[in-house]
Amino acid sequence: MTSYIPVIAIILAGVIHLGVAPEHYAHAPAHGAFFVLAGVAEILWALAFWRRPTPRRYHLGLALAGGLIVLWAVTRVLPAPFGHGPEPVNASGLVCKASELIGVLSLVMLAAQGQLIEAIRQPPLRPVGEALALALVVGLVSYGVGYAATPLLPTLGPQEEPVHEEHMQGESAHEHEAPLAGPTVVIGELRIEGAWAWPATAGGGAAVYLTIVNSGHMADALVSAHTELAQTVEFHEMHMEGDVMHMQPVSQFEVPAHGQVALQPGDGHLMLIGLKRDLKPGDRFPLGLHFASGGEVTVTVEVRQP
Amino acid sequence: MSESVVGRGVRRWATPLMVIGLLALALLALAATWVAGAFPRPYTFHGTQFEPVRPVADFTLINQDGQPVRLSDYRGKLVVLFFGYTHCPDVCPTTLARLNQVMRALGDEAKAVQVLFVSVDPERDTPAVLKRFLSHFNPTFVGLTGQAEAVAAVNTVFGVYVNQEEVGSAAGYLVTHTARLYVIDRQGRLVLTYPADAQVEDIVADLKHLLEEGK
Repeated sequence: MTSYIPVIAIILAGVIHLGVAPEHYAHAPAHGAFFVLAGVAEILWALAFWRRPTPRRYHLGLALAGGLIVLWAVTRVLPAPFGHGPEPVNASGLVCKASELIGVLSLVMLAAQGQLIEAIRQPPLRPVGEALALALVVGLVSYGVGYAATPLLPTLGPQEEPVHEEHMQGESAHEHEAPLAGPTVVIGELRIEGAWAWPATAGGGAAVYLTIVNSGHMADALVSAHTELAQTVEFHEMHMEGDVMHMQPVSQFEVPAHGQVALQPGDGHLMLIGLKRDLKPGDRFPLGLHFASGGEVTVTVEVRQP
Repeated sequence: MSESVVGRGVRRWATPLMVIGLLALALLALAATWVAGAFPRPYTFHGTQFEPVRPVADFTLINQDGQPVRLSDYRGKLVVLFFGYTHCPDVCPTTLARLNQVMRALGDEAKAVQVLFVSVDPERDTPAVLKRFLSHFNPTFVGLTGQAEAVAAVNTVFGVYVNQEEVGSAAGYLVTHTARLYVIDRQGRLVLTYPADAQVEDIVADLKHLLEEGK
């Protein structure tokens, strides 16, 4: 039985590091790699020290555990390398640092008593100073190195939020729950899905959005549309130039073979011009579509509750 | 080095070490709590902040009920200002719908937020037209219009680009304009701006923070 307290304490800290590595990886690859490295290093060190507590391993343990404590403390206050800002103080972090602290303290106590290894029998205060110095130097230097490396390795930095994707998926999933768009209509190889519009006022215009899916071998094109509600229907494409949205009339919307055209806000729409009455949320109205292949179909447009 | 020496050392120090360890744990927890409290993580706005924050020059326009309205009338509320026009088929209704979602997400706190829709097309957007248009979106939104010069002056205040454009559409002219949202805090200062396609969640988080901050 040799010095089991530092061994157990540091193994525990190592296991916690490995355990939280995945969630940190999700944040930034560099963080995940760092936690795996720290965890593996701690476990390897503990096993090595368990087998033979040499002076070198003793100092290595102080540097490793002490350095990680200092690094932790620094990154609670200052922005973490490869991160967005200071990291939060949480339970796993506290337990991990506490066990590292227990590890360091027990190492120092044993060394101060000259019990640990005869080779480092020395004045009692010296191990304390040594431990502090090692922890500070290793912790601060690794913080500095990490900070300096951050701009050099941008791919290891914080992942550009997949959150927005999720929001969008969430929104469309929500849209499927509540039918806010007209029913799907099939004509030959073409399928017209979910025609909808925002509310609008008589005399003004309204954009109709829909998706046309072509499962055939031949390209087709939407060439005209008509509704009794409006004087005329035009096709518009949109594009942003900086913060300014530009709209351009086009003569048709092409639907490639085995492809689709999705008219959505910000992309393009069928514009009803000269509305004869208001479009109110929940209204439905028919819209005739005419295709280059000669196909004609009427879809129902649903006015969406904004 | 003999096992027995180490073993004795460990036995002798086991209890004090445990005590010290527990004390250290308590101290560490205290220190961490103090650190977390003393350095609250600064809130990062999703919108673009104006630096320095500057008061907005007051202006008077006509609302959808034909009443003159001053920006300073809304002092004490957060104002979300958006430029658009009722003939605008795509961006404007989409943005208004998004602002509707923002207001819904704010719940009770929406009472402290006022959406202003400033027309960039006063020629066609009379108060009556604005009223009908906004009634389909959210009747609590205030639509603002007025004399062309008065509206143009407001555009200038926010640096909004407005251009009547003939694109060969039967809809007549289009008004291409800067499609941005502007947030004015409760002291009447311009604090944040967003592109028109900003995420609802982001705007809600920022507005909630601004409301919290002002308490």
